[in-house]
Amino acid sequence: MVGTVVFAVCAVGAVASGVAVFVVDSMARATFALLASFLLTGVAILLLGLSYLGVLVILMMVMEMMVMAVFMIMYMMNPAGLMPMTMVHNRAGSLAVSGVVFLLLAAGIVLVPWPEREGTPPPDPTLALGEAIMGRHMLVMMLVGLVLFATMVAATVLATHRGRYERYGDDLRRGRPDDPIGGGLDR
Amino acid sequence: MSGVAPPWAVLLVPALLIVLGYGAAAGTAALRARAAGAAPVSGLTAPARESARLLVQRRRTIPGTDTLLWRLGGALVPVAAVLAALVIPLGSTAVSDPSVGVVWFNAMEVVVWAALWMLGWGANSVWGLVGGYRFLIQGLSYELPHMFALTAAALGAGSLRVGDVVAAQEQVWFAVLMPAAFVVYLVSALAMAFWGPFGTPVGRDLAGGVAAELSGVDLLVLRAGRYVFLAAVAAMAVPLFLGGGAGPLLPGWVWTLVKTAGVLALLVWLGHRLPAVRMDRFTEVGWVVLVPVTLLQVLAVAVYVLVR
Amino acid sequence: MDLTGWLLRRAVPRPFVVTTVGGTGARLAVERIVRERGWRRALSPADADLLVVCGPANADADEALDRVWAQLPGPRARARVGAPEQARHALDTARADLLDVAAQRRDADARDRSARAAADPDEDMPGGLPMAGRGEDRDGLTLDRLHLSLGPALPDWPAGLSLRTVIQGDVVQEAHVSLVGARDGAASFWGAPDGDRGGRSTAAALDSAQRLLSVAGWPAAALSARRLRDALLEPGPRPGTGAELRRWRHMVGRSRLLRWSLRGLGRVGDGAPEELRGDAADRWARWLGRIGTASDPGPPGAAPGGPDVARTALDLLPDLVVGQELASARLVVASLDPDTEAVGAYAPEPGT
Repeated sequence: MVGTVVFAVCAVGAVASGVAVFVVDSMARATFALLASFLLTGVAILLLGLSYLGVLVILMMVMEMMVMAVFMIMYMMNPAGLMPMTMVHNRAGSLAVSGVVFLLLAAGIVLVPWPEREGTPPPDPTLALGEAIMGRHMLVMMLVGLVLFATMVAATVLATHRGRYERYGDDLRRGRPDDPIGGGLDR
Repeated sequence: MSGVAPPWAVLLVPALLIVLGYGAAAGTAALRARAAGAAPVSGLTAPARESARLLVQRRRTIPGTDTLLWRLGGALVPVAAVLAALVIPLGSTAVSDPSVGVVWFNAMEVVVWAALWMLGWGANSVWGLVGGYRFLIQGLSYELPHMFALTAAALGAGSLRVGDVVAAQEQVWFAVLMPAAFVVYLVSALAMAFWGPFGTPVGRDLAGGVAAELSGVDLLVLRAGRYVFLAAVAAMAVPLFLGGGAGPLLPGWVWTLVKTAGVLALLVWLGHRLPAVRMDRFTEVGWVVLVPVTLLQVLAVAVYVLVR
Repeated sequence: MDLTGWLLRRAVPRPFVVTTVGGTGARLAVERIVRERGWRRALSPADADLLVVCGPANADADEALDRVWAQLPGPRARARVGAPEQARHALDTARADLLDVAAQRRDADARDRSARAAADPDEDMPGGLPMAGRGEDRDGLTLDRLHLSLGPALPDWPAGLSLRTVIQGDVVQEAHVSLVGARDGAASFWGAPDGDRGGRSTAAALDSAQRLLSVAGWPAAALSARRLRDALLEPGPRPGTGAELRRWRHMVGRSRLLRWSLRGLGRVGDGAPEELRGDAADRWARWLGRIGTASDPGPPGAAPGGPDVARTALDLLPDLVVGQELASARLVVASLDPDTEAVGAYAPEPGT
């Protein structure tokens, strides 16, 4: 009973704050509306008994949305920009696309023959999750991690216009790098 | 060994945090009074008198503010502190001891990132905005070492449950077993409570930073919330690294409080004795020194767990 | 029961102290009383309930001060301390004004009425404020350009100095220096003849040091420095001050964290006067040296720099802060600590 009520509140809240993203007139509020939607989804995951995944969603989404807020706002708005704005471009087109996608997904929920549950949930889902990831699929997960990390490093290297020759001189002999704002370790 | 407290204990958590937070504020004021050449005793009433001033002071209205986010941001700081503290056992009993208590603490503590940024942004002031940015970069600098320090403690216990982490320290405290993780935890405790050397998001050079435009009860909530948060992160050090309520003679809950007060006193003293850490310099230290140090610490703990 | 009055009487006031050019003596007197009474200085007008203006009135500064006064949330009171000997009386009067609940309520009502009358809802611009313009930053990204005026009413900031900046993120992109209320013929407080065994020179260095320590986020050490500075400026014997000064010097001189924060900031070449050369850490070490020579028995320390040094510092300032993060810019200003009273009327050289 309590679970049903909490789920209903979270489900309605998540959808409502998701809608709010496109209704509010400020980039900051849109960011936090999206964050609220993610957090309520995290609570719904907690209700499934997947406490680790649920808390992790909350943790990661707060951090991620804060970093995102900086990027969205640094390029777009003045402080506390309540300047009338909208997250929607091409209003008619986007409404049509999102309506069709919603109908397709909803039809999928109704039409797909869902399998019956076999077996019982593990006593400790966190442990089961860890074993699933780190057991048989260890190699895949490590490769995925490595690829992700390499992508991030490569993207940063491509984005910066200052390389080691700018920092340490043409023959890389400079003792201290020549940076606009130096770091704490002189390297 | 851990039990779950009766429901009314939920009210005990904020009460204890406020008492500890008041103690931290009074200790800070006493150290300050001594530096000013006055009697340190006058510090005991200083937080109460400051609260009286802020209760009378009017709230501000500034043109162009995002009032919703501005007010919400300040209120989130004490709320996050209390939520984070729900998993901290007093003696052997916690309000809640979920199987992922360590991650829960981590998730609630990160809410302060959002809180401070909302505060800085909402005030429509350059000082606040710069303060908000500063706290985000501070977060990105301390968070990874902090997570690895938590991971080291959880790895040593083989569980993310705070009660299990305490139980795993029956022989030897994790502060002894993994000193690097403990030190990094203390550094990140200062950083996440934007306190002392890591107080630049509300720093004097920014005319108060994210708090630059706050007044009256809003400012009271933020200042009190920061001390409450400091008390919560100090309290979490006890089950993670200092053996929880373990100790001779006295009951467990007394030992938890004594150890928490000790950690809190250390943090307050560090705030008094150290100048601010400039974040543009600390970021490199965080990523180039602290992340590898904590990774090596996790490796050492993993090897220890395997050969034990 | 009058709860507001009861709380007000128990509250410790928090003054926002602003110094105008020529007000250093008054500022020292005010800071001393504030410290002795266990008050704390406010970080921003929003935090304050007293506005304390140290120094003579002048039209330009008064305009800025009126804006600051409007930012005090209330209950609020205002004090002007023209000369050091007025400080005690002015602060007492302001405190009494603060406790006058009836007058404070009238002030609050009047402000609310005028705010409602002035309210002019503008659909396009929230709060009637224009949107930030944009421009290319150091890395070629198009970011908001925010205009921020540092000073003249800023804590731990040279009297009358105004640094108008354009910042993107928290990096200063442009900076222009001017002096508010400076005039020729004004006497510098620290440049006055020293009849007191080198105490004044040490006190000047301590005053610069406490300002830098405040900006560097070490309020406890700054507070001790202010206490020692006040003790040194007192006429007559000062037992025990020498030993305390040595202890303080030992404590701050040993701080590697502070030197690490200051290193490499605001580097000034060898063409400049000796007092300004090197980076912020060098200038900090030089102050400590000056304090050290005076705390030990021996020859009095070198006199602080004269008008030329301060003028050169002001000329150098814009180039030193451009491209720096806001915290670094404040540390650079504090480490130069130009004696604005010595400069006289100042106009930046064309082209800077």
